[in-house]
Amino acid sequence: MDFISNLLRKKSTYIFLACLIFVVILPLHSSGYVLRVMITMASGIIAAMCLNVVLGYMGYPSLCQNVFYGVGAYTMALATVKLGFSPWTALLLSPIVTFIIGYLAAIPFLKLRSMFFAIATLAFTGVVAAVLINLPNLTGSNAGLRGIPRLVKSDITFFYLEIALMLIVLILTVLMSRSFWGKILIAIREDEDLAPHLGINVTKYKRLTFAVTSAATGVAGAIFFSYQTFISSNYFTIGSSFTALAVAVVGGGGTALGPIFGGLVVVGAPEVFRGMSETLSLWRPAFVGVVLVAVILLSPGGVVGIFQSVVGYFKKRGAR
Amino acid sequence: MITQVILNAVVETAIYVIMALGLTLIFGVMKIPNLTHGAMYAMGAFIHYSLIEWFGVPFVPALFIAALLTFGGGAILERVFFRKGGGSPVIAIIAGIGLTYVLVNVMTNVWGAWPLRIQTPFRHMLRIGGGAISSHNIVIIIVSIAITVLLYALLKWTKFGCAIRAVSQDREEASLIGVNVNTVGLVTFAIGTMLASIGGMFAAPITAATPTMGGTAETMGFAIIILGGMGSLGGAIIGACLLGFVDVFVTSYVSGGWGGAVAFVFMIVVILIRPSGLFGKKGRQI
Amino acid sequence: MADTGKTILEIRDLSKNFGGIRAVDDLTFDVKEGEILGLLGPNGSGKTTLFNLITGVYTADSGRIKFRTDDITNDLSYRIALKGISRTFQSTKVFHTQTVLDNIATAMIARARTRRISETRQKVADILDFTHLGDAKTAIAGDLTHAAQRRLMVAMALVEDPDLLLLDEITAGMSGEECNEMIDMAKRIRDRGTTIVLIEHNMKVAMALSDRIVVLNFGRKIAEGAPEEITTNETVLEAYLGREEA
Repeated sequence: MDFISNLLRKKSTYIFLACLIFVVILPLHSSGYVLRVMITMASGIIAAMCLNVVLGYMGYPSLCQNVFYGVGAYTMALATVKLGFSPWTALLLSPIVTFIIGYLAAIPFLKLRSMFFAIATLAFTGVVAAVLINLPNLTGSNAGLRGIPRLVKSDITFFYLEIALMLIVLILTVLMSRSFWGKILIAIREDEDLAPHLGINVTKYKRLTFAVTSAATGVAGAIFFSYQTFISSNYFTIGSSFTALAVAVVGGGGTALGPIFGGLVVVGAPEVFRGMSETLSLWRPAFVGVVLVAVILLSPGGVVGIFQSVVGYFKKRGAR
Repeated sequence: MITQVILNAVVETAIYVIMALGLTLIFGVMKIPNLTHGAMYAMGAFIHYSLIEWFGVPFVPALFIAALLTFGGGAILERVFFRKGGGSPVIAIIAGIGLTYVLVNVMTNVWGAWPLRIQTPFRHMLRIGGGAISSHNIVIIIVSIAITVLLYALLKWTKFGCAIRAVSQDREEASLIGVNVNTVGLVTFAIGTMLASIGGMFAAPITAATPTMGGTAETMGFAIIILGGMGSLGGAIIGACLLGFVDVFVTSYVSGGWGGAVAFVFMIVVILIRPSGLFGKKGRQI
Repeated sequence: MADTGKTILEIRDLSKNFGGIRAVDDLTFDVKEGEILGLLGPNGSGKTTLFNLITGVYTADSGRIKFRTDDITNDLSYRIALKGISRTFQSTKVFHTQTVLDNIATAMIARARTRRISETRQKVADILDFTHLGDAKTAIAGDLTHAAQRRLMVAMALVEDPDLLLLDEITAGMSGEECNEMIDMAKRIRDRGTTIVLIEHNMKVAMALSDRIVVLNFGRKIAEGAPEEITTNETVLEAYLGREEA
């Protein structure tokens, strides 16, 4: 009860509830197209949230996030289309398969640091992309697989499903960041050579973190491609992980809410432009690129970082 | 048949050598991986194409002009975006990714996403053994060798080359003895970018130019220089030979499409066993 | 409690090569429980390498390291730390962007799960008091003075009551007064029951603190004994001054 009354006292709780209500009502008044954008954005945000744990909290710049999105998605697709499972069974399978692959990938890759890790994960993405294209009997290659059954019937329900997943991931991230796990990840990020001397089993936590976030990403992928009912290898090219990276970085690495803002900027803003002018929409990737470069060079804390500086500035003025 | 495969492998290696030399040079001096390399590879092809189609410049002079333009472009990129010198490589990686987004988008909007065919004036076919090689490919090989020789000459015999080597060995020491580290970085980055675009210019008539043609090439480039040792020119050449041959042989004898993947797996294995590559820090650095 | 006389750490025929250079060469000596053992030697004589071998950063090429009854020769770093061996480093290794409190909390995380919050709070308060960092609780580690940062490093190594503490040139960069403070702290650490092995270049500190001294040169032990014996030892003097052996 104490916890709840504390919560009711904080302003941020009400803001959060307002956003929640807004998010719930919005799809009911949105056109099919807007809904599709929102579903895509929500899914991207979830993937970015998972990447954020690995990149922002743990300090490992993974460029292969989309691989796990794809593993989850293809598990959903193959389990339903080729093996006849129900989509909910496939949804249960997705995180399990993705966890295993994520853990296996973690073993070699997490031995590397910083840019070597980044490049190795990039190469990993290339290998997986090649696997997806070159096994048409298994994966349908570019032509893809059709007829993935939907988990739920309507688009709106899919959106709610994704919001639910996003909330779960958000809550888990916040809980993690405030717990011993979060401290361990930050220790790894700040000085990985020091951590073991403090008794921390760095290897175990790195691998688990990587595998668990991969599994969550896999679930997001499974849900999205069930919504889309169609999957092809075109979605998993070598550079496809960059979007998740952009969302995570732009929003602000190492903060739980960062990816949400990142998603709004990276996916949402260009769509707003599209509304204003068709030609502007041609420059969507350039917009993302510009924002990404601007953020990383000028304000590495991302949107959340800017927000914090602004709040800090006003607090200082108020204190005078 | 095998002669043909070998010939193809040599050509592919030649293009990769040009690309990898630029990439390893940039890393050696600035200690950052350049993730705009692939985009500039493609940009080189498109600028070259434009010079030919829009301005009527003949193929060969257009090569030189495009090279100069991309040299300038690289200089601008370094000055504006990468002048952190000693900054975290992760920042450089992310900035490079952002810039690639922009550049690829520009190329897509200006030149279109469809593959552009570029005609090369070198169209003779030469028969060697059981295979054939076009004069264009022979030019590529010659250019690749020439660039390698020029680069070695630059580094060994010119004052600026000395400066480059000094900065790549120890940036602080170099600046203490009076080397203008910023200028060295700028010019090196420009040279590297120019080399990437030269690679693209020569590759385009073979594979057709698309805005995303640099993607796999860039990752291959990294595979090569990591294999050979980042910062080592000799390593870049050997890495290019190794992976170029692996790529072409796998593509020809196993199945198309797996060449790149095998090369990547190879690189991942090497990076795990010996992160400094075959000729990395432990070996000689030019 | 410390029982002087019992061996807490055994080094036997320990060797480590780095590409042809013998960094540690057939090293053998004991560390007695409850003592402060000084580890001296010119630069590059293998002292830090020895610490790295003991704490699992390097794997030994040959030889054995025994901690009480445990053979820890090629054990993993985190397990060695959990067994009760802590260390500090030549460079100031703390989490510079985190607060002092967070630094200490991180040092306690590995064992925090099985402990009550009140007990944790007490340990934190104790260690801050012990290392004179009580006022700096909420300061960012990177903002502290150099000496305070090094005390923080000691606090992090000490907070879980290790049986053996390895101090690697802890007084590096400290003023005379700060050195005295550190000498006093080391004595208090020993009095608390922690055995100390101390790498020191500052002779005053080494002499003031060490019960016994082991001297290394080129990875080999060239002398072992009480401080007074070491200062007059010919071999030791030559090692430091680099004079050719007659």
